[in-house]
This record gives sequence, C-alpha cells and structure tokens, in this order.
Amino acid sequence: MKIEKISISNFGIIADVVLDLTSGNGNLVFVNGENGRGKTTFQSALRWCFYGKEPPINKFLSSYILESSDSGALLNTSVSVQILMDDASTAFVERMQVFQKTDSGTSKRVGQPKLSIKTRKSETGSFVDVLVDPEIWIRKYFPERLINFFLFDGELMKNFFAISVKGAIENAVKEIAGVDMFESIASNLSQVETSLNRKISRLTGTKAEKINEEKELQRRLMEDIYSDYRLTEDELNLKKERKSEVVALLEGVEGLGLQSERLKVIEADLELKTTNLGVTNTAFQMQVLASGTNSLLQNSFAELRKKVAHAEKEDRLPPPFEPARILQLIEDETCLCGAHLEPKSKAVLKLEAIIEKYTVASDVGRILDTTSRQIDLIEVELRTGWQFIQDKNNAIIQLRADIDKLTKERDSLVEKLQGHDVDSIRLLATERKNLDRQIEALISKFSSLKEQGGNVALVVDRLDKEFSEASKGNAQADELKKQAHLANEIASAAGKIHSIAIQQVRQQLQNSISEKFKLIMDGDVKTQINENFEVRTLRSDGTEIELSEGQNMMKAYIFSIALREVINLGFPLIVDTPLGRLGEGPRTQLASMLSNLLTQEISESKRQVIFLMHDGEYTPYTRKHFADSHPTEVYLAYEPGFDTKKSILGKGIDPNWLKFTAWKDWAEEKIK
Amino acid sequence: MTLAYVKSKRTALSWDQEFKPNLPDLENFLAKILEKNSVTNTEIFMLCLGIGFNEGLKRDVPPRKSDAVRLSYLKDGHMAIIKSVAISDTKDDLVLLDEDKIYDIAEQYAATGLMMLSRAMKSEPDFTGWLTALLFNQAKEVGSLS
Repeated sequence: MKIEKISISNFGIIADVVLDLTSGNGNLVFVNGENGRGKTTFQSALRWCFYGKEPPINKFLSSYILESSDSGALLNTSVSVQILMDDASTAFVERMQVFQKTDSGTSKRVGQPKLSIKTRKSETGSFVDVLVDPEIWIRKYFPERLINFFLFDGELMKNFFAISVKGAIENAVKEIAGVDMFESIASNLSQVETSLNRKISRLTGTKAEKINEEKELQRRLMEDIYSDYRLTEDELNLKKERKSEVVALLEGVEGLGLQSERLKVIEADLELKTTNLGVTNTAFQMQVLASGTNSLLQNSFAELRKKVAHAEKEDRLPPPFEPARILQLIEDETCLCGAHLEPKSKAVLKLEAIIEKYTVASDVGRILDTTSRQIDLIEVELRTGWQFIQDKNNAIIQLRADIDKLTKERDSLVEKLQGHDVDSIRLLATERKNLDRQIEALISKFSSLKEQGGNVALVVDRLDKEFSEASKGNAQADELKKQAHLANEIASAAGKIHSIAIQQVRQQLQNSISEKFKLIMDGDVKTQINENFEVRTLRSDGTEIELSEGQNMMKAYIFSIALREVINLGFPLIVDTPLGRLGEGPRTQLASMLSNLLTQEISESKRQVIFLMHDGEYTPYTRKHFADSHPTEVYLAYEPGFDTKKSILGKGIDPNWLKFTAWKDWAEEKIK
Repeated sequence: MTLAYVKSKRTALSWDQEFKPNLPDLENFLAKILEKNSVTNTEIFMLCLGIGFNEGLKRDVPPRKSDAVRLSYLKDGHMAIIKSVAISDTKDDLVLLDEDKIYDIAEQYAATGLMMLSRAMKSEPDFTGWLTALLFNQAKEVGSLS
C-alpha cells in the first residue's frame, strides 16, 4: 500500500497543499519544516481523513480562510488521499466538512463530516464509489485499533513501550488474531450456564438450591474481585503510564527536575546565609566600633595607672581614715581615747590640717578607685571584644565563601534552567514522587486481590462439585445439566481458541521482531511479548536488556513494521518527529539504524514511510544515512507575507534552511 | 589652698561649632557601617574623642552649647574613660576634682576627632572602609596585646 497523493484544503495552518508522490518511488518521504509550519497539522489531517478524529476546533478550519472570507460564506475543509492498494487497484479517500462564517467572525459547522471512497481497478479505469459503507471499507484497511501503528509521534517513541503501549499492543494483537467473536461467545455462554444452574437448583431441592445460591454468591464475589482487580490493574497501568510520561518529560529536560529542586534548596540556603551575613556583619561592626574607639583611648590608661600606684604608695587608696569622722570628734571636743580636745588648741589645729589634706586625697582616691575599676573592666572587654571580632570576622569570611559558592551554583543552574518552566518541572518532580507511592499501594492491592480471587475460585470449584452431587437424580435437571455442561464446554473452547489465536499472533510478532532486531543489534537477542502484552528484549539467558533511548525508538519502529508484516496490511508508516528530541549522538545512531532497517524493508516492497522532520532532526548528516533509499524531500514553510497564518509545500530543501551552517556547507558541497 | 570636689552644672557635652554641620553625614556613614537606622550621640562622641585623643591634639570649643551627648546618657565606663583622658592630659589626678575641666578636655579632643573625621569624609574615597580598617587595626593591636 502506498500513498500517491495527499491533498489538504483549509485544514489548520495548511490552506491548500497537494503532495504528489507519483513521480518518484515514494517509498521514503521526508516532509520537513521548522516548528509551527504544519507538520503535526499534516499528520492530524491524515488522522481525521482515515479515522474521523477531529483536531481541536481552533485547529480545524483554517483561520486564514476564515478571516479572508465574507460573513455567511460556506467554507470547505477537506483532506483526500489517493492510495495504491496492494492488489494494484487505486483508492481515493476523501473526508470533508462544511463550515459557515458567522456574523461574529467565527465558524459553525454545516452538517456532518462526509467520507467518500472511490476505487478503480487499474490506472486506466475510472473511479467508482465503493459498494460498502465507506466507514466499513476504511476500517478494513485502516483498523482503528491500529491507529497508533499508522500515525506515530516520534517524541513519544523512545518511551513507546512504557507509555500507553500495553493497551495498544493488546488491541493490535486482538485485531490481528480476529478473535473478538470468541471472546464474546465465551462470555455469553458463561451467562447461559449460570442461568441453567439456577433452574437445576430449583428442580433438585433445598440443599442443591442453597449450594447454588452460595455458588452464585461466590461467583458474584469473584466477579466483584475480578472487576476490582481490573479496575486496579487499569488504575495501576494509568499511573505507570503517567509516571513514564512524567519521567520522559523530566528526562526530556535532562534531569532538570532534580536541578530545579536543588535550585529551590540553594535559593532558601542563600536567603538564610545572606540574612546571617547581615546579622553577623552588624555584630562585627558594632564591636569594631566599640573596641576600636576604646582602643584609641587606651593610651590614656597608663597615666591613670601611674596615679593609682602613686596613691596606693601614699596610702590614700583607699584613704587611711575617714576625715569626716575625725572632724566630728573635734566638734564634739572629745578624742577617741576620751581626752578633751580644746578648740583652737595646737593638737586640734594639727588635726584640722591633716583632715584638710586627707579630705582632698580621699576624694581623689575615691574617684581614682572607681575609675580604675571601670578601666579594668574596659581592658577585659578589649580582650574579649577582640576575640569576638575575630570570631565574627571568620564567620563572615566563611559565610561570604559559602554565598559565593552557592551563587555560582545557582547562576549555573539558572542558566541551565533558562527557557524552562521551573515551577512545572518542580511540579512534575513532586508528581513523580506521589506516583511512586500510589503505584506501590496499587501493586500491594493488586497482589491482595489476586490472592483473594484465587481463594474464591477454589471455593467455587468445591461448590461446583457439591452442587453436582446434590442435584443428582432429577431427570429434567439432568437434561439441563447436560445443556449447562455444553454451554460450559463451548465457553471454555471459545476461550481457548481466543487465547491460542492470541498466543499465535504474539509468537509471530515475537519472531518477526527478533529477526528484525538483528539488523540493528549484534548478539543473540530475542523479543518476548508476555501475557501482559509487555514487549521485552532479552538476552539468550533470559535476562532483559536495557536499551538506550535510540534503541527503544528503533524497537518501536520494528514493532510497527513487524505488525504490518503479521497482519498482512501494508499501510504506510507516518511519523511526526521520527528522531524524537534525541541528542546529536543518539540521533545519528538512530538514523543509522533506521536507514539499515528501511533499506531492507521498503526497497523490496510497496511499503511506504513518511517522516515529518523538524530542522533539528533533518540535517545534511541525517540526510546522508537515507540517501540510498532515494527519498522524496518536500518542506512546509510559511507563505511569504502570511507568517503563522498559512503554510505552503515546496519541493526539496527549504531555502530558509540554508541560513543554518550545516545546510550552507551542504549547499556549497562541503558536505556530500 | 583648699581643694574641694567641684561638680559641674552642665547637662550635656558640646560640639565644636565649626565642624558640627558635618555630624549628619558622619551619623549616616556610621549607620551604614552598622547597618542600623541610626547611631547614638554617645557612640559618635566617644569615637570623636578617641580619634582626637589618639592624634594627641585638642581644639578649643567655646562656648559651651550643651549640644552633644547628654551626661546622663554616659555610662560608668564612658565616664571612666573621660576621666582617664583628663588625667592623661593634665598628668595630675587632682583634675578629677573638677568635673568641668574633665568635660572641657574631652570636648577639646572630640573637636579634633570631629575635625579629622570631617576631613576624612571628604578625602577618603571609601570612608566607611577606611574607618572600619582604622578601628579594626586599633582593636587588633590593643586586643591581641592586652
């Protein structure tokens, strides 16, 4: 199956584009374009055409055509694809939706979208409408359950086997096995068996009836457990998927989750240390001012000390007696010894002279004494003050060094985080932690339910046997039992067919993937799709191989191609951003692996691959890997004068890309 | 001669009026150094006293304006230093009996200190750095020896 022509009209940014692939071999097509030029819209248009899945309303009808039309005008959005089918016939698939421009300038739908399909048997024949319902025709060749393997998003590919893939693979395998009917038969006949058993129990007496009631009770319990089990499993899978997405998003920003967490810690630490620095600096400066000022005055202390020493020597520090007390004795005219002190006597005059002298000495000595004691304290403070200054100075040096180091780390992180939404990254990191806890709890619940289910199944088995024993001997019941047994047998057989068919498809897929994996990976490597539809890559000893991002993306490609082989449907593979957002090294590795695989897969068949590449992916270096497949190159670019409104399709390499060094070198033939 | 203790009637010390206009600038610089909103009059006066005494120069401060630190705000330690300065200046402990004389001496040294700081504020490109270094080195010299 090969797409020969795609026409897109008035769809999102693509106003009117025709991609005609009839002239080249068309097996490998690169639709290139810078971000915002319509690559994803291109894929979205095909998704709508083949599956009827509409884009968001603001990306449906072209805003350009809406703005340039008059009020009331009818506007068509259509996508048509001409396909060369595997039986050499040609199909023309077109989906169309009519809109009308309202007075307020918006658009409203007119009728429902219309799908029409025409086919012709040969190139010379004419197209005629298919006889069946077009929706049925398209589902036959483009099964809805395989949409994920037809239209890929490369950005999600590296996590393809971690995200949403279990359900997609399960759906794919069931689609291929075509065993939905058997699943339905098994379910319906189980219900028939239950109904028959109820009738039997009514016919065969109280004991059997009671056993049957108990059995039904246990079955309902088992159904409840099973339902809970499935819900838990679904919830667990959803959480796992979300975790993978979160991990992928965090990986996509190269560990910025952790870095943003670190940034938060650094910012808090910086704030604390800056505050501490301010407080410490103030304490330091205050002590410097106090100690420095007193130190400037310290030279005055020497004279004071000298005077104190002199006063001590003269025995007036402290004063030898209290002049006031002696003066009182003179006034009382009585000596301490009791002798009379005659006023104006020689002795009294001598005493008065001594009192006068010592009154001065006493006053000076008292002041000297208190002053020198204060100065003693100040000298102690000068020593402790200097120690305090040194401590604070060291603390300031350390804090400044810490702040400097943290600032550098913060600046570096800020540089790395520039352009990223740090808050979102933090939220993602928190979500990842929460998901880990939730997943752990769900796994525990899941195991518990599994065990409960097993126990109830044993009880049901036992009750089955008891019921059989208790309901013996009634002819009508025996007849019904035969019917119930038959229903059970058929249900069981249908279940077995279902599981065998699925097992076979799984096996085919495993074999095909293992075979193709050898093209990209040395050594004895095999693929296993287990009962849970997990696709694991194993060594010969059964241990799982941890694949690189590029290898995981390749695994997704291989799975997709193997699926086409097994299902025997050769619908094209259309991938948006096929090399993902890989770094230079892994991208080159993936391009190399992909070219090896595609060379084998598309050159000898009618298979077709369409890659929608952005300028970061499609470089002269990636291009050369695919040169042998002679790809068709086209590009989406803004129509001059209609930036962000309207894209056009051009052939070859977008001339605007020649501004990039690598393409410039390529144009100048420096890169072959 | 009869010597007796003469208590001063003053309520506050006085600034040298010539350099007094520079006080607000000095106060701002000190507040900046200390990362505080304001500094006390005591801190400013004692600093000026220290700078002036360390320089060994006195300036006359007539008349007594009582526009500097209030005496009641001076703590025992400050008073002890002021008295120590007076003894050092006069080489006579009898100066302790004359409070006015003690305050006059302190004001005269503080006047020199204010003058020097006023000039430094104009001449030193990094006045706060200069002053911090001066005080730090002085504290180091005295604190590490004593």
